[in-house]
Amino acid sequence: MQTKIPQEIFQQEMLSILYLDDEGKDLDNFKSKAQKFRNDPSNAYKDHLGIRIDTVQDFDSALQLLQKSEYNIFVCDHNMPGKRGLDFILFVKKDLPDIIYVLYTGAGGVFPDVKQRCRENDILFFEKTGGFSTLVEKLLRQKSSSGKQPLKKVVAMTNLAAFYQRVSKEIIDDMKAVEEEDPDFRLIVGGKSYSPSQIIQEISDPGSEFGYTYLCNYYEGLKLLNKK
Amino acid sequence: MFPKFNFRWPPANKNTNIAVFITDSRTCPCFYLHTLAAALPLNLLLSATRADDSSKQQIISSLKKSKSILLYAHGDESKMQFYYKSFVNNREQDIFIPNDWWKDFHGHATKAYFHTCYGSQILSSKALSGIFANWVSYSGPVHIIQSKIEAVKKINSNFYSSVSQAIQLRSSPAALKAALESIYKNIESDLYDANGKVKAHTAIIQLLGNNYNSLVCSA
Repeated sequence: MQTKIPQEIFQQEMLSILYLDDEGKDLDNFKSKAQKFRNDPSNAYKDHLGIRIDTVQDFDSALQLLQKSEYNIFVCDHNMPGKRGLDFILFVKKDLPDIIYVLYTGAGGVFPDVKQRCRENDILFFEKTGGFSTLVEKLLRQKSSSGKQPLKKVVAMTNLAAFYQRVSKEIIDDMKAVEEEDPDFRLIVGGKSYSPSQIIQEISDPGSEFGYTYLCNYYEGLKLLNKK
Repeated sequence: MFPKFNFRWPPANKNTNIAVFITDSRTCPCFYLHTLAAALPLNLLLSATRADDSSKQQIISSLKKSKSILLYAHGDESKMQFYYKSFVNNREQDIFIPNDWWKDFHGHATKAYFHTCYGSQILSSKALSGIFANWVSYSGPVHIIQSKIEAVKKINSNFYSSVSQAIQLRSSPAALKAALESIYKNIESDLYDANGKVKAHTAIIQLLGNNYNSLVCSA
């Protein structure tokens, strides 16, 4: 199948996060927020975004895991004993530039220069009071603007996920109307034929390859018509 | 074994020199072309089967006079051969067109449009590479809609007749491909009727997206 639409839409894209915080309750709170986000029925990325979170409470453990594992996001508390989170991020970032770094703090306002240093060093600043969905959105935007490959992929995927949610009802309604008008309607795809009810069934199944292809083609078709 | 064809000469302008292969299976979407045949500028229409093998030379001889070939058929998923569906002894069968048979066209047909799945891979395969110098086809599965809904019939009809005209007017594969792209894009003008937007528009638009992006031409 030749299509310009990225194939990521039905692949589980993974936000692989390592979170460093000396406060155990903050680690638990972060995980709890992520769990709530995963289970939220209004979560647009629900079926398409996997989130893995590992947590550590000291710098040495964080460094070891970052060097060994394939994390694409490192979330770090700022106020920790012995060293500031931002300084640690800047230290790690020299050797691991492809990771998205997030300075996660509840006291950003106390250090007026912190936000500025984050901006200057391509580090995302995020307050602990913010919602997890907002953090995910910021991560996706950060990925997009940074031009880092894994992030671009996620942005493309989430755009399509939103598109899928928007148009699947339109396709199903359209096929219901078609079936009523012409029960013999068939879409022939590479020698296989699909009735309107079969199309509805496939579109309703998020794991269906046919449904995915239909959606991608529809997206491409709309783009072509809009370009005219 | 060489497939058996019957063939006829539709009452069309023979100066156009277009040869067309289509099916005699009513379950195949290409069968729809029969209803359009009279309106298309064709000089030879081939379908299967029930003719004896002796017709082969006559068919080939006629086709060699054609400057263009349109093939509305199927591409084998193994991307090695073309085939079409036909009724033999009241049963629908896939009739494969032997690759050897196409070799008779070497140096004859100057332009070819293969409306088949995986046409580009088959034409570029070891067996057929170089037989047709100038062709346009598809790199993936082709999507087709069969329906009695007026707008769909109109879109199909316009598509097939526009393709026949395009292959006459365009001299290079790139120009023919561009003409086909334009035909697909113009589908929008047929999407509406007096009552507004037609039904089946999602299927038509997805067909546009698929077929447009799969179009490939020879260098």
